[in-house]
Amino acid sequence: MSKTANPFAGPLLRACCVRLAYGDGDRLTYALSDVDVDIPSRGFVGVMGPSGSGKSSLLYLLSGLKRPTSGEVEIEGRPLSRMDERSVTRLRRERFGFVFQSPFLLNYLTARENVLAAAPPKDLRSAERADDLFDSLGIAGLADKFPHHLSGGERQRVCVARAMINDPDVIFADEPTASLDHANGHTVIDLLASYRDRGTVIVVTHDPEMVSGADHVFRMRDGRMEDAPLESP
Amino acid sequence: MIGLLTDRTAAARARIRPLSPLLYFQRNPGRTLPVAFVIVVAVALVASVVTVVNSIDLTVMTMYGYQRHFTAVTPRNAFTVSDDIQQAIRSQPLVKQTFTTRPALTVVKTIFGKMPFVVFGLSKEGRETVMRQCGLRLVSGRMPAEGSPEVALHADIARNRKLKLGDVVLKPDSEDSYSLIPMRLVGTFDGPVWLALGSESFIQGNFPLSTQGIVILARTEQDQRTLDRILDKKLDKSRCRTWTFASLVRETQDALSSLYLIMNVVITIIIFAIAFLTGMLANIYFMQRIPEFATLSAIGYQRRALLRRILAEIGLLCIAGWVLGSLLNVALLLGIQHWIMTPRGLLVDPWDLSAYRYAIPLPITIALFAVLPISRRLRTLDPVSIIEKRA
Repeated sequence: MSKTANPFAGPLLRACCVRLAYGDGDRLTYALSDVDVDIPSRGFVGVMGPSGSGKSSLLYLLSGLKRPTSGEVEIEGRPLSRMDERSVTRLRRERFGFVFQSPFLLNYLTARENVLAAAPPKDLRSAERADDLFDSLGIAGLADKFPHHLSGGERQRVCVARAMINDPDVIFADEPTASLDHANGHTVIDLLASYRDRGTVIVVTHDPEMVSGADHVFRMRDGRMEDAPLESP
Repeated sequence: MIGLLTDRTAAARARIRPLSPLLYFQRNPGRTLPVAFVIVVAVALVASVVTVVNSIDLTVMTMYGYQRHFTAVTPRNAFTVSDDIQQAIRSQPLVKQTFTTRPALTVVKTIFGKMPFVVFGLSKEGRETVMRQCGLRLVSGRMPAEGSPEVALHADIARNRKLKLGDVVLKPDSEDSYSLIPMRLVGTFDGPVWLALGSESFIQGNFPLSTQGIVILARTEQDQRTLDRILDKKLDKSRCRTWTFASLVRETQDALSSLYLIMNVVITIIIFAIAFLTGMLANIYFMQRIPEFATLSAIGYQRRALLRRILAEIGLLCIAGWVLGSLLNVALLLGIQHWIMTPRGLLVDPWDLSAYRYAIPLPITIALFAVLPISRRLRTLDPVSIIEKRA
């Protein structure tokens, strides 16, 4: 699948002064407070911070999985708040890919079928593309296995394949290495990082080593950005 | 060749629909089969109850179905049908033939108790003509001899009464099949209509209180219906009674209306009770899959698409459940008919379509009970809450 060039000159994704609150009335807890962030249309972006710093919440807002309490999230300058739920869902299907901390694979589907479940409907080339992805991710022999026959690292690689099957503009990865050992964690990060030339990969993690190769790293603490975007350490 | 095979494999892969309901059923029999099994059993239960209740109607229509083939007129306040009434009957152009008849009463066992059954005392010619008119043929023994205490019965009645040739059908000490002189079974016949025939002259001589009626035959069944209506309208009801097929149907419906009302209420309650329980089961079946729906929603499946998938799954389960339940009911009833009912001369119709129509609301209600809560849950589904819980 070839992607058309993004004609929009600004950042692909932008969060402007976003807040995300849980609870109601006097018991409001802010997971995010006045966060501003610009995400470029290419590259490997890391979001770092300790547990509870709000990095996963930021990822949910940027991907449209949650709506901010205040502030605005934009994609190519278009505010998500002006899109209805169906349009945001379509955005996730067509332009975003996801890798979560737990694999969230459907147990009754084989690895290939799990990947194809995220493929565009009626795309006759998706099976071929899934096979190519399995090859490039080094799991070609596992395509017909069910998730419970795969190791944690293998499952997470299947998730990476699922996230890439649509050739998305952005892959959101929320602590993708948290349940993996060091070697498997690095493999998954390397696979995700390899996508930086085709789109944006946003990896949320608390492990600095995992974003050591990132083009941009955002640091968060207590629901706020610690500083402006930094160049890779 | 290898290239062709590769192309075919690629084409087959391209056709994979990972979220097809059939693939889900195939891969999750442990979850799907209990729901399908309950629907199958529920449909079979409702259909069998309705079939058994309908067999009452079937029994009455079969027992007294001879009225399709001839009309009978019996006197009131007299022992014989008066000459002017007989003349009025014979003057009808649709009348092919008439015979005088004297009845004796016996009984037939049914699933709702013993029902009275007329032994028509007819002349030799009358017996032969009536048998031809009803499409009956002798299959064992012979026809009753003129003036003799003998009876010929439809084979189903003989089976029903557990009688074989030579056995006594009516006897002096019987409460429901009385005859001063024992009347023995000398022949059985087969065909679409139940009938019992005896000798008119014997009944006339040995049943002092028996009345003399008229059996009236038309040329065709259609003519018989028309003749029924004409006679019913024309004959003086204070002096004779006209026994027609239409009056049989009317009286049967009147007699069974309360029973059917009760049956409808009971079946409605059963349908709702079963549908509620099965719907809850189906609801659990879907609720257990909320993480699956949350994952699909997170990766971009519209809620409407998820709901369509749920509808397709429950729809297929319900249709398959209804079909299999109906087939199970047919199989069960064929077995019951073969091993229990027919040997006892009792009637049940395993192919009674109304029973299967009665079972249609069941899968529909189950589907509603299953789909409404899950569709409500999908509307408020927050994939993040599920993802965070599992993380």
